[in-house]
Order: sequence, then C-alpha cells, then structure tokens
Amino acid sequence: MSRMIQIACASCGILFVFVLFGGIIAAGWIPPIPPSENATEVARYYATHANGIRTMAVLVMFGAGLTIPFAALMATHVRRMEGPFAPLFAVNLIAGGAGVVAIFMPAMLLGAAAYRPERMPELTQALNDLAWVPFIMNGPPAIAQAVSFGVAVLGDKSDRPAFPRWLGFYNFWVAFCFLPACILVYFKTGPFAWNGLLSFWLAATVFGTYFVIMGVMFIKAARVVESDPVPDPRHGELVAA
Amino acid sequence: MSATVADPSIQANDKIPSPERRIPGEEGLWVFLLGDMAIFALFFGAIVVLHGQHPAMVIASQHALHPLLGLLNTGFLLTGSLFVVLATRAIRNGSSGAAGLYGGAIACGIGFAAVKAVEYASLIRDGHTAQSNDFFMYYFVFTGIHLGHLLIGLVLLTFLLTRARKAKPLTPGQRVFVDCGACYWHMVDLLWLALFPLLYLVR
Amino acid sequence: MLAALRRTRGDTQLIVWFALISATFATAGLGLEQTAGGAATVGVLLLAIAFTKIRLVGIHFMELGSAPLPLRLLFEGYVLVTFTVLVVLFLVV
Repeated sequence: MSRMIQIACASCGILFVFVLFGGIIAAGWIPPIPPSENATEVARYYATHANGIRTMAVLVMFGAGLTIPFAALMATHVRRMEGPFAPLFAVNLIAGGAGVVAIFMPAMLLGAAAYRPERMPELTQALNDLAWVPFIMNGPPAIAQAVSFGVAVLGDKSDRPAFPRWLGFYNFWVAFCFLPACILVYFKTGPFAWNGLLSFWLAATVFGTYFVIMGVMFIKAARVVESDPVPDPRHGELVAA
Repeated sequence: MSATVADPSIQANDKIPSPERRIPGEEGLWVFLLGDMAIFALFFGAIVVLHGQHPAMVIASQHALHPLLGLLNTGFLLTGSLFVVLATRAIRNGSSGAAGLYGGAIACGIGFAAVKAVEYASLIRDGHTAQSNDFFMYYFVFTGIHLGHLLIGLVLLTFLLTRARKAKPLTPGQRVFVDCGACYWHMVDLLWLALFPLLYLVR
Repeated sequence: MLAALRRTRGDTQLIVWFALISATFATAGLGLEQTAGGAATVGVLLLAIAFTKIRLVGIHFMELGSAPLPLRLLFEGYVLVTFTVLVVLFLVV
C-alpha cells in the first residue's frame, strides 16, 4: 500500500470531523435541539432553520462517506497486526461499515424532516426524533471498531509496532465513553438526554477527538508500514483462506 | 527524575529510597484508568447535581436502598484489593501462595456481585426499577456500569490465577500484565469508594 | 535489603487496609446516624473521607506513591479536583 494512499485515507477521518461539526453548526445545533421541546417548538425551529438543517443533512451525508476510507485503513491495519487468521479484522471492517450507516441514516432523515417544514408539527417532531435518537444513541458500531482495534494494537507482537501501546488502551477508553448514550431513549432531560452532558457533550467530544487522534497516528504509522517488507506467504494464505 | 537522585537532601527525605521510580503496569494503561476515572467523576457530579435539584426525591429513594449491603460490598472490595496487593507481591517474588491469594480476591469479587444481585432483586421486588425516577435510573446505570467493570476485573484475575499456578518465572511481558491487572482491580475498588457514599449516604 | 524494604511496604499496605476498613465503618456510622439538620456538614465530611480513601488506594495499593512524578501528580490532581468540584456542586446546586 503506498504511503500517499494511507495518508489520504487517514486525512479523510480528520476531514470528517470538520464536516460533521460544520454540519451541526450549520443547523445551529450546538447545543442540540432539546428533546423536551414540544411539537410546535420543534416545527417552528425547522421552519426558521430549514436551509441550515438541509445543509447539515448534505454535509453529514458526505461526512459518512469520508469515514469509508478511514474505516478501511483502520481495518487494514488490524489485519496487518493480527496475521493471517484475522477475525478481529472482520469485526473491525463490519463495525466500520455499520458506522457509515450510523452516520448516513440520520442525515437522510434530517434531510427529509427539513424538506417540508410546513407539515403537521407532530410529524416534524417524529422525524426529528427519528433522526436524533439513532444519531446520538448508536454506540455499538463505534464500540466494536474501537475495541477490536485496541485488542489488535495490544496483541501486536512485531519488533517494530506501528502504534504505541497507549493507543490500544485509549481505544478501550473511547469505547467506554460511548456507553452512556446507549440509554438516552429513557430521558428527555438531564445528563443522559440526547443534549445532555454524558450522551452528547462527552460522546461528541470523544468521538471528534478520536478521529483526529487516530488520523494523526495513521499518518505517523504510514512511514513504518511502508518500510516493512510485505510478507508474501501470509498474503498467499490469506487469499487461500 | 535524575535530579531527584542527584540531590541528597531530597533523597534523605524519602521514606523508601527508590532509585527506580517506576510506572505501575505500563504507561498506556493509565490513559485508560485515568480516563475511566474521569468519566466516573462526571457520574459522581451527576448524582450530586440531581441531589441538589430534587433533594426530597433523592432522600426518599435513598431510604429504599440497603446501606448495610453497600457497606458489606465496600468490605468485599477493600479486602479483595488487599488480596491482590499480597498476590502481586507473591507472584513477583515467585512464591507459591500467589494462586491462593488471587483466589481470595476472586472470591471477594464474586461476593460483591452476589450481594449486588440480591440488592437489585430486592429493589425490583419492592417496585423500585430504573423507570421509577431519575435517582433509581442513576443508581442502576452507574452501579451497573461499575459491576461491568468488576466482571471484566474477575476475568483478568482468573487469567492471573491460572498464570500463578505455573512454576515458571514471569516473563517481562507477564510482569507488566500482573501489574496492569492489579491496578485495574484497585480502580474498581476506588470507584466504589465514591459511589457508595454518594448513592447511599450523602443526603 | 531489598527484601526488607518489600516487607516494610507490605506492612504499610496492611495498615492502609485497616485504615480503609475503619474509615468505612466511620462513614457508615456518620451517614446512617445523620439527622436532617446537619446534612451539609455531614455530606462534605462523607465526601472528604471518601476521597481520602481513594487517595490511599491510589498511593499505596496502585503504588502510585513510587510512580514517576507526572503520573503521581495527575492522580493527586484527579482526587483534589474531583473532590473540590463535588463539594462545590453539593453546596451550591
């Protein structure tokens, strides 16, 4: 794999963060729309901010696309560290793919919600819920991605590991940080609500910095990986398997 | 660090002159442990804020909890930590008692989980579930996440127990793993030391 | 020499365990006997005991007492900041 391709894939992850938060800011949703608002208030927000929310939908949709090369690079690293028999690689790749959907799907729903803001307020509220609940709640893909990568880093037995061991532990911690958001459906106010301290601020901060830190580490690793001789026999086995 | 060693006055003040100030476990482990502790600090803060906003609801809910079971669990975790301290020392010295000591720590951990199960069951039987009010939601979620940490710790201790049974001396990698497992277990203990008074006692 | 040092430290850890258990009983006594009136003082006291215990676990059980200074300071900072913020929240909110 050429070094430039690695750097490009890693940069997509960093760019994703800017596109994602750019989109959220375009809709005026830092902080997010409170889940405690009634249908009329939600509908009024959509009516007055329709174009901002539409812009967010487009930006976040492309953001989801940007995570594709990033997730592919991460999975390829896992396969490199894991060796020929690579279940962790599969876990990481599937989780990465699910992660794309997890970001893509809410963007589509937001686009639909902001498309006709003049409809009945209850319908707009339902669409708004349909977008925000999965957008903040869907931790498992990111958790599986981070844990499988972390295990691969700590299990890397090579003489010149491409990643420092702390990055493995960091991934475990990130996975842990996504847990509180998983119970947001029970709350309309407080730290677990989708605009709350634990579900939004913690998860969003950790999620954003995660892509930047991982992107930087991937760029740093590109040199190490490129200078490694490609183990041809392993490659053969992999194809055979 | 080298300055500390070079300065005789500072060294004289040290109770235990340690030429090698060493990181317990490995550097990366502390990214996880301190990070985890930081998240739990947010949990602690959430409990205190809830207490301030709805004191009557919190105090009424606290009366439904079983502080003596919580007290018993604190004893289990502190004693488990002592077992791990002794086991770590034994396995580092290569003495034979390590496996038994890890066994003691595991027994304490299982005791904690069993008490927690009894507590959950009794609360739910009394009609207090996570849906009852915000306090019980916090109670079940925070103690549940803590219990999850404890179960992971039990898995780590079981690994260490199996390793301690072998007569072979530790490799450098295993030495690090022994310390990591111990520190993780102590963190589970440490987090409970704040959760227990905040949930059960601070009115 | 080294063995002797180890034994000393072991004793320290044992004493720390006794201290922690005693503090736990003190906490329980204080927490369960409290009346509604003195709640604020009792609450702060309970938090102070809890974070003293946490510090003891970190310094003596996790062996952060003999860790490199930056790591030790991070831990001490965690204990101090968390305790202070909780007390402020407890008294203000």
